[in-house]
Amino acid sequence: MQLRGLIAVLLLAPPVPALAACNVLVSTSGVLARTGDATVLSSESGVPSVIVISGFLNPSISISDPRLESWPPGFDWTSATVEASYQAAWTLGSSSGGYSSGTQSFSAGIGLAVTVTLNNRVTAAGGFRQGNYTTKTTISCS
Amino acid sequence: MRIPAVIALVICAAAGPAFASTDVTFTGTVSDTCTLAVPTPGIMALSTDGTILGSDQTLGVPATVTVLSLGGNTLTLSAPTLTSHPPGYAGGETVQMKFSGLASQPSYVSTQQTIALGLIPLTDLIVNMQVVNANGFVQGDYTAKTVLTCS
Repeated sequence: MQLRGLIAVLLLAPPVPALAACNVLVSTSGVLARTGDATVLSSESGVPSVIVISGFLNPSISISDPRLESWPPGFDWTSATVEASYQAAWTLGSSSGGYSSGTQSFSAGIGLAVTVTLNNRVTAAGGFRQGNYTTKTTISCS
Repeated sequence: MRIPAVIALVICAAAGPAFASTDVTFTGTVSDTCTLAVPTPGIMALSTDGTILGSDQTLGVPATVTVLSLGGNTLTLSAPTLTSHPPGYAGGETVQMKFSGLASQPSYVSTQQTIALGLIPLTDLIVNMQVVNANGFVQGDYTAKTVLTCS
């Protein structure tokens, strides 16, 4: 009876977090800058973002679709395309993804940490108005 | 021995998935997307009937403005004004402008004009100016201007 009671308690208890299979240790902000092509604003001309993720057991890493978060008044944001690309490296392997406006994901191998270098770029056929632009990408792991 | 195994299995089944996420932000500032230069100022000359001082009269020269735009900008030409005239000039004039090249305003106007710019390489805007006064002009130098602003 005592054993049944214990099992029942365990089954009814809410799930508890497992020991984190992964964690975002470090993330730096990126800087977008104009390229030689006036229709492109890219962190390849500025500063890419670097994210370090701890992960021991093949963490699955997902890079969300990049979004344009802010732009100056008068800029036709509907005509802009926002894309992200990444390069990832860990102890015994690497992965990379070209520019895409959709979600990208990969599974890292066994290692202590995964370093992801992330670039964002904004393309606007009509060029850019003067002002500040911000893009955002969400990186998650599980 | 079977009891601990059962308990361990239950604990593992109850544990939720590990998950972590962070937002990464990129910021950028765009500046100096429009450049203006006036390599050729205009010269106004008197019409044969003496009532128009204009850059499109004989011996007159229109002004040429060079425009470079790297983005969605707006070029504004302010309403033209007479900024200087010789002593004794009684006034009563109308100052007008028209332009061609980068954009076209074929007939003379006295009001502010705006031109929407996209991506354009170095391109000329040719501006003509005229001062009209039915009472004519006294001898001396006259200056008329329009202020161009790109933003």
